[in-house]
Amino acid sequence: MTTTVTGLVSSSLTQHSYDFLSTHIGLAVIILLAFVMLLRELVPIVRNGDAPLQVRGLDVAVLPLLIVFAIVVLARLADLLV
Amino acid sequence: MTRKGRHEPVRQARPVSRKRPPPQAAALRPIYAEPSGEPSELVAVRDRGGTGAGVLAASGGAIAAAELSASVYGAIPGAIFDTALAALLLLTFVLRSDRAWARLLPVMALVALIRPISLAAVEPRLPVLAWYAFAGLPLLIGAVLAIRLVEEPRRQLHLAVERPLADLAVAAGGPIAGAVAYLLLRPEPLLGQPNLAGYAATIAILCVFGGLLEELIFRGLVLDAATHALGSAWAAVGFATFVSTALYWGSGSLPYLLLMAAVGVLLGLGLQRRVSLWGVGASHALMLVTMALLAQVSAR
Repeated sequence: MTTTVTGLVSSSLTQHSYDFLSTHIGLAVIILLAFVMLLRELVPIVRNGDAPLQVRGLDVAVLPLLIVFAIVVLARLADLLV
Repeated sequence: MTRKGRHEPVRQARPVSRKRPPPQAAALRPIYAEPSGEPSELVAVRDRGGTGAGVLAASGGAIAAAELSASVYGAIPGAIFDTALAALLLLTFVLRSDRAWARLLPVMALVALIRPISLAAVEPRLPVLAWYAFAGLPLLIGAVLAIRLVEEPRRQLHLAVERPLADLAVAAGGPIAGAVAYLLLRPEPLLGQPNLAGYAATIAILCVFGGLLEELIFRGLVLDAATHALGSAWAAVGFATFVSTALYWGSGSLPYLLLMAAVGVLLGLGLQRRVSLWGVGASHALMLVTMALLAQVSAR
């Protein structure tokens, strides 16, 4: 019904286990998070601490990816503990 | 002798006339010259309409291609491609942040992240209704953070309610579009065992993580970034509609896809007629709620 949960997303979620999804998409998202966080730390160093626009722009991706990372870790931990 | 005499003053004047402001000043200066809000009064900014339009078209086309490829190769390869695209867009943003069009890159990166986040943040064993919240929460936070990149959010994102009656009229169109959308898509009910709390949760989740979120991203952030990059409000409405419609490709229903394209155009044009983002978001939210309630009632 929405752009986030389309029929294709629903069928992918029901066809695959969360282990499979988090191993593929989750891993890609975590690699992207590491890349963006590295950029976020490097940019102020390269620009002598003066990069507010760049940091704000990267934050647009950092926080959503951090939430996804937390969800992936919690879901995998829950799988291990249950 | 005469020829040389004609050219000399031009050579002397050239460094003065072509002097450019420092990069940071160009990036941070206001995009609009006049605060009237009229799209025709957009002033020329450096690189607008050239590289900016190219970057916008390339990123929008890549996102659409990833969605189209998902119907052939499955959602996972397309989502991984979207993740790589988001990385490329953010890297370009860091390297080219002195350009006027750079501000659109984090917004397009957020759009590219919709599919990876919707697949990675959702635990399939949770109820279907929770999928919308889990996929929507990270994106909503990203969209709110992207508002900080807009110079004048209240005006550029149409957050001010200038014509409340027009807002109400647009919102009232939502249930009608929702009824048509239900007939075209025939979605599954979201609640396994419907009760009052379940209906309240359905309405809240679809309003916040459906209608308002999508309109903030597409009719707010993408439309504003496209207006700056393309220099034309009408072209920007077309681009925002193209990107949002491409992400509905996975719905698997061509009539529903066309309906959402029409809804996107109408809501975009409404914003050009000074309807607020709240009215547009309410219309989309009511459309989704109508679809969900009709699906629930028909499943009894």
